Amino acid sequence: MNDYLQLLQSYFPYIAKGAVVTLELTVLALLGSVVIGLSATFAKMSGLRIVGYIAGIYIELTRATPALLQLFIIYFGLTSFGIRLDPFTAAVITLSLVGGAYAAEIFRAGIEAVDRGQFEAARSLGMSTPLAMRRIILPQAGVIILPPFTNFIISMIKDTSLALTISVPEIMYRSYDASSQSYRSMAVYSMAAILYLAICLPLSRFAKSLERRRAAQ
Amino acid sequence: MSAPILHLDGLQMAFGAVQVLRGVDLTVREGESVAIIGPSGSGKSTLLRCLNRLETPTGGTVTFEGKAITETSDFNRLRMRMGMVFQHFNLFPHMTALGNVIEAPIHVLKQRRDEAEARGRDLLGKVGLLEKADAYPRQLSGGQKQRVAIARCMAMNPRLLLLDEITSALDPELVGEVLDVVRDLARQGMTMMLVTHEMRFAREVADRVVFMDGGVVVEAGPPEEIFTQPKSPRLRKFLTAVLEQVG
Repeated sequence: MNDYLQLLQSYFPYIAKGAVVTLELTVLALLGSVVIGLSATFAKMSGLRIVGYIAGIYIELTRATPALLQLFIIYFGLTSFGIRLDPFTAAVITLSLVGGAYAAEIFRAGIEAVDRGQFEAARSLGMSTPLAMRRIILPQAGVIILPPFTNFIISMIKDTSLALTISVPEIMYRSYDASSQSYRSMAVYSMAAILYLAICLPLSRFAKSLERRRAAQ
Repeated sequence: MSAPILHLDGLQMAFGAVQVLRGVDLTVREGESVAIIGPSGSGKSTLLRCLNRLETPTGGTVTFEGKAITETSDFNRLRMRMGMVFQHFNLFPHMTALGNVIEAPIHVLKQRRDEAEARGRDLLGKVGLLEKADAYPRQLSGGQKQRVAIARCMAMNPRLLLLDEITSALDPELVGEVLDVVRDLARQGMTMMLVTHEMRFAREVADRVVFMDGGVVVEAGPPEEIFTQPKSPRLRKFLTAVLEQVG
């Protein structure tokens, strides 16, 4: 026990610093996902054939290949074209692209779940489609989207651990590092687990309570 | 006789292979209230929805305020002048009653908020719901929701009001309060077209009753004539069936 406390003292601050990187990755990738996801959603709903088609291909391809593969293509593969990204940037771009495809599906489902009559009522009052979207549909879709989107945030937090493979110093990279220095895998990785749980559990609680509240309505 | 505000000439509408409207001719004059009756599936609601272009007609012409709206592409302008009240109210659930009423005046007509609110309260007062201005739709009864929906429509100062089976989703005891509001509007000279199953109300409030069946106007005329001396066998059969139901 004493021994574990000592390990904790020497490695926990180091690994905990990785949590900051994990959260930075998460926040930036989420922003990217929302922008890409909304664009893809509107592209698909625009009624413009080609634009919708491109968005469809992007969503299909992204969802049908492992995120790790995409990360390697962006970080290692693009160097063949002379594009050298630093690991952090490559991770943010990859996670945004992967997340964007999932977010697009969440957004589309949310918008479609808003009663069709809402759009008709808005249009019948002379509102343009963008205005009806902004004032009437999206606020309602937002409430519907919140629980699945919270779950999406949780997966995003966990997916940032992929960045370990290209040496971004997030939680997993640092615990791997600490483990190879100390040869105390169980102790070190349990610290990582505590950090992930501390971030993710409250979020998943929040998502569950949102779902319960919606079910109660 | 007042000037015609709306004229339909051979209006057709098809959903794929299903022909819903097979050439409807109809003229509505300023200040007139026209009730459209007929069996389910006769195309009554589709007719209204073609007028404000929630549906796209597949043939014929519609002239509104002297302009052929079957050609215009500025549907937003058209819809500002032609209000619609829906069977299922379609109030915006994330806004209060007043919020619902002032939404389009502020964002479409670009009215100042205080101006829109004053007018909104005035309209809510007219439908007897001033004390519910800050209530959300979920806190209102069906009848109250529908009255808010009417106030929301009137806030745009429409020239023509389309009422699409506005009492069909209501509990029977709530129908009266909504019909009272419509009756008031008709008395004030609001031009309106109402699709309805309330025969007694159609008879009382309409200047003219139009009977539709199979996507065409079968018979039209003053309510007294339509209800007491129906000419076509189809109308006679329809009236026998619905009046029996009412008992």
